[in-house]
Amino acid sequence: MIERLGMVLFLGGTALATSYATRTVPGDTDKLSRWFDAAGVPFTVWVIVMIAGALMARRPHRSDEQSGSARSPKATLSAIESAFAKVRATDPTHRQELLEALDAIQEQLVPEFLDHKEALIRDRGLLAFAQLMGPFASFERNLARAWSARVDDEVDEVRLALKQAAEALDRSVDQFATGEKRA
Amino acid sequence: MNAPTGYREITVLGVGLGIVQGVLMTAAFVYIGLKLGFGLPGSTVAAILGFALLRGVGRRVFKVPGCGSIVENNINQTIASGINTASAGIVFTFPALLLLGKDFSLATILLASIAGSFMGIVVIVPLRKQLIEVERLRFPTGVAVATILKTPGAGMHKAKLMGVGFAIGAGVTLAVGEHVQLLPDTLPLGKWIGALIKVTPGSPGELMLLGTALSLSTANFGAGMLSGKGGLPFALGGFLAWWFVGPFAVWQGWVPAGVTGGDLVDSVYGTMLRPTGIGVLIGGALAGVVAAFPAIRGALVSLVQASRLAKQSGARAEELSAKTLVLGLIGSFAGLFVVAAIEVSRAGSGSVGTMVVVAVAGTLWIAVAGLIVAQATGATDISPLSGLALIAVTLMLALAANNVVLAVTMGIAVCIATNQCADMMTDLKTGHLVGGVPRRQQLVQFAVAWVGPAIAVGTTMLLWRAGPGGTGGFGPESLACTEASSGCLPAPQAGVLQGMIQGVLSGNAPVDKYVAGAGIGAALGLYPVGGLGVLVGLAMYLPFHITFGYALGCATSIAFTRARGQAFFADTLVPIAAGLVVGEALTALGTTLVQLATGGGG
Repeated sequence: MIERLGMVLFLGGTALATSYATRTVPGDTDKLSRWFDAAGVPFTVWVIVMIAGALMARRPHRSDEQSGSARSPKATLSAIESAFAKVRATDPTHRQELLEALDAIQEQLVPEFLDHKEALIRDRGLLAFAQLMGPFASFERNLARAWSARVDDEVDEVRLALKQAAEALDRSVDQFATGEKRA
Repeated sequence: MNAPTGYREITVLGVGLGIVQGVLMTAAFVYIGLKLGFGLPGSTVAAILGFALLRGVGRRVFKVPGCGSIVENNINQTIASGINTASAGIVFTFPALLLLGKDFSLATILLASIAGSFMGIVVIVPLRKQLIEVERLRFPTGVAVATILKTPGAGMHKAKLMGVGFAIGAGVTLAVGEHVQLLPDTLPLGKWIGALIKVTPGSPGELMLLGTALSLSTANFGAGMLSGKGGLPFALGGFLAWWFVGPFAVWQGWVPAGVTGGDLVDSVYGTMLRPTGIGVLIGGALAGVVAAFPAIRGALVSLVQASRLAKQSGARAEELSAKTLVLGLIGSFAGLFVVAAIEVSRAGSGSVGTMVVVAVAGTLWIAVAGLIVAQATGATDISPLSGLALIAVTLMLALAANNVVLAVTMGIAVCIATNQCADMMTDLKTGHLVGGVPRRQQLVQFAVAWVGPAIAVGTTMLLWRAGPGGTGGFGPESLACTEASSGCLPAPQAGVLQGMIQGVLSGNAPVDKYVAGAGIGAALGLYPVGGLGVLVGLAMYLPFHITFGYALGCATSIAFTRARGQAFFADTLVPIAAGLVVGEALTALGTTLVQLATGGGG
């Protein structure tokens, strides 16, 4: 409720403060002081309303309430681990099977996990989210590299990229657990 | 320790092809910019040619094993587009100096261009983690190029969908082109509605209706599709500007009396929304830096830690080392300082203090403008380069006591640097999607950063000296343009900058709008949606027909993704949207080249 009220105040404040910001004043000199004389008071009032609304809208939520995903972030991360375990068990010479397994993680599970972004930031803070995203992005990039290398028939590179993806995923899981404890 | 596997990424062929393509595109796009007033994208062309030449010719004809791998082609397009970033930066700024008839040093221009090119890379590389990994910006062109690069493994279904998108993009671009003109390039939706209902001339309703139009740009629509819900704040900013702020200003009587119709739209846009939008962009970017400070600090720390860890464990380092970036920053700053010192001395006015202030302000502005352009490009694929360059020149004129040559020279550095920032981030996004090692992309772009400025400045001088008596080769007053011959190069963007400089010198800069807008942008930064200030500012800065087309792309993407799921987005919408972006870009390039070859366009 408070967040919704905050959003309404923020939108209203933004619309009116921006309107007063566009106020034109005649003449070419001292534009700033003449604009402030003409529109400074209502502009300041509406900027304050904006700020109040933004602060009300920043009220913390639980991550599970906010994301559009049916699964919690933890459950999605576990699903990624399971799907990746299957990828590692796949023979890299089986091109189609491997590409489809990689696609399933990259195109469905990773976006599902990232759907929780805003909620994770609210729960754990931006720094903790950034610390989680470092290894997680490295995991994504190495998955993508394994995909590219498989298309290019470079099986040794596929193995190396998957090994590095596994290390990055382990670090992500650790980081997720650390963040959970702190939150 | 991980032994190298021989997977081709940085290779002589890939780097060589990237340089050749980059040089050719830079020279050609400088010419096109002077002729038509707009730049063209280079990365899609480079990726497709790279695919044909490296994979087709290199692997099949010359039998080079593994030639044209996806990540090798990514390096090729990174280099080509990185070199080409200089063309847009130079075309917008340098010709203004020539048209103003100012006495300048070519060596100083070249030094400023090269320093700007390096500085753009070193200020944005540390923000890769923040923009790509934390903020998860979409970079629609980056996604489109990745889709091209991944074509060999994407399967027939996706290839067909991309082909459909490409065909629609190419078809619409041809249909709205000036030779065919089957369709208007913008649909005046509000005007059509206005024909059915009566509105009073000069009223808020008239502005609302006449301002509401839809650009038939498939690239714009496709970029919106790729951005999805992440692009919504940009779309909402457009509606706010044109359906509330503008009409409110008219209702309050802030527009000169008697202004109606198209003049009303131009007046509200040019004197109110656009300058305020520039201010909102700046305030939003600065607030964004403050809000994201913990994450940015974390990214900088991890940059240092990661390279240390990589050295110890023998793993691949993912980023250019902090040492290289610091050295690059010191070198670029020294370059800007030397430029300031030479120009202040040449003008015979100013002190060492002025030199330092100009160089420091130039560096700081490059960092802010680079972040704004990278964020705007990442979220919408649209760059507010010209507005930021105008601010740079205004700022420099104020700091350097109206020394026009110094102001424009620093403006050149800023323009090239900000373009580098946007291009580097777009390329890194592509690399993220195809599994390129960021450090390798950063390394090659860093290594060739001097090439683009040299080619762009050289081409501009060559064209200028092609005029009678070795001068006046372009501009509206050039011989070719006054005789309306096909060789006319009107240099429209430089004309805008020239007009702006004259406006600032006469004290007519809209400083009030910049300051008030910056206040709004800073307040927008408090709302818990990342990059809100930059997106709303960009929406105010652009005409509504662009924002509206993009908004429809976002809405389409959101609706389909909700109804059919995330897999549908990845399997179906991304290839179609990539096709729409690439189809328009390549068709526009093709028709422009045909137009120039057949003597049109002047």
